[in-house]
Amino acid sequence: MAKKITGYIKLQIPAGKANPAPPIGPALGQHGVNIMEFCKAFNARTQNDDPDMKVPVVITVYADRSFTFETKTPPAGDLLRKASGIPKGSGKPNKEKAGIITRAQIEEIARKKMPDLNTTNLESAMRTIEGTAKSMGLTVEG
Amino acid sequence: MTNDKNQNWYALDITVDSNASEAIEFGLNELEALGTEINNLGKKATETLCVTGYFNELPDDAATRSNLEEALRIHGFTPAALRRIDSRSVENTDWLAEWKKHWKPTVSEKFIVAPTWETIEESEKIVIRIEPSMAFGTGTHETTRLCLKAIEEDYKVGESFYDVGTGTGILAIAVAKLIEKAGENDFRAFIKGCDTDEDSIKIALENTELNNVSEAIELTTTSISANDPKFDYVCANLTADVIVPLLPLLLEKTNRILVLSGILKEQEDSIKAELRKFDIEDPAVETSGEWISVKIKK
Repeated sequence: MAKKITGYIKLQIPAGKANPAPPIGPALGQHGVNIMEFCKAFNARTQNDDPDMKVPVVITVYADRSFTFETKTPPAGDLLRKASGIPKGSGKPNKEKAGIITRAQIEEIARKKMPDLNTTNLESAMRTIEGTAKSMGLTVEG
Repeated sequence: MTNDKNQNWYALDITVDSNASEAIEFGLNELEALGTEINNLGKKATETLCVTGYFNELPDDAATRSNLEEALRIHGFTPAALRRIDSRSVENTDWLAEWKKHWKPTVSEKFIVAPTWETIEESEKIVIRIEPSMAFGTGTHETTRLCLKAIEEDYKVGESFYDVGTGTGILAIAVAKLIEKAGENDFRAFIKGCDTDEDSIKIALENTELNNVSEAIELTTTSISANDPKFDYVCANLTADVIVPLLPLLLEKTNRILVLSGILKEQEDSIKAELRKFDIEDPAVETSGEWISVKIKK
């Protein structure tokens, strides 16, 4: 018999740095989840990821308070910002060019994001990422 | 994993159309949120949901709105997708308390690991009382259970024991209790626990007192060091990335058995490859859930 699910929680937390402070404490505490167990498992799974990058994680909580979790790829905007080196919230990308990103970087991000973009077509994934890049005011070169 | 008792946090609760939630997460990240939370995923795209961002200090209202609207635009949504912005303070709470209410004793071949608040009936097994607080090692986690199992299998009473990354102190306490039960009350065996986290050592000390074995165990806020003596039995319940650089010292300081735990199943090959650099082939591997322990006999 399938275990009864009592909650889906999506968090974004820095790779390898989970601790009982918010958002994890309040989010998981209310579901009676063993917070330290989650922290250890999450940190083990993300220990090789960029600690400056927030990792989306979807946690499924079951009726017996046990849980499973699945990590996702960081948001495209975060990956683009990191790759292009533009600071957070810089300028008004609508009106001025915030920075430059190469096509090779777009491809790298597209490959990384493909599992979460509902496509197996690299070209299509690249078009999606390129659209986000342009919306952020990034000039695509190469 | 410390938690300043006087610290409060702030939260922004953003009500948004479901399909625009990732844009809001991005916007909150841009505002330097510590992290974000969405409850009740799986709502229909036509419904709204709440995306919460947690902060040490709240960004000002204008910056919040402009960043979130910009994030929506970047992701192809209009500002209308943003329905509502609420802010609140988040009081520092013992978030572990809710889970504690549901924590039941863990029973193994020789041990019953129980929280302080649980009544245990008379038993042949050794009862270990643990107050987990903010430290790791309640006995419920696979990585701890794998270490306890190893100790049950082949720790010989009287051997010196080193618990590297002691957390709550559970493994060192288990060994001290085994010796106590065997009647070796003079605690001739040297038992040591170390942890780089100061809070863990404080909690471990409380737990050794709780179990009446504080005199038997030396606890230090350190990692394993070159100055440590050799121990007959060494347990390192850490994570693979911490274990690998410590391997030379762990092996050097082990006389008879070294147990490595806190390793994911998918990391088995890489740990074995690291061990081969020290001419260790085919160590014993135990699996529990998604975790493994590796036992090296010298």
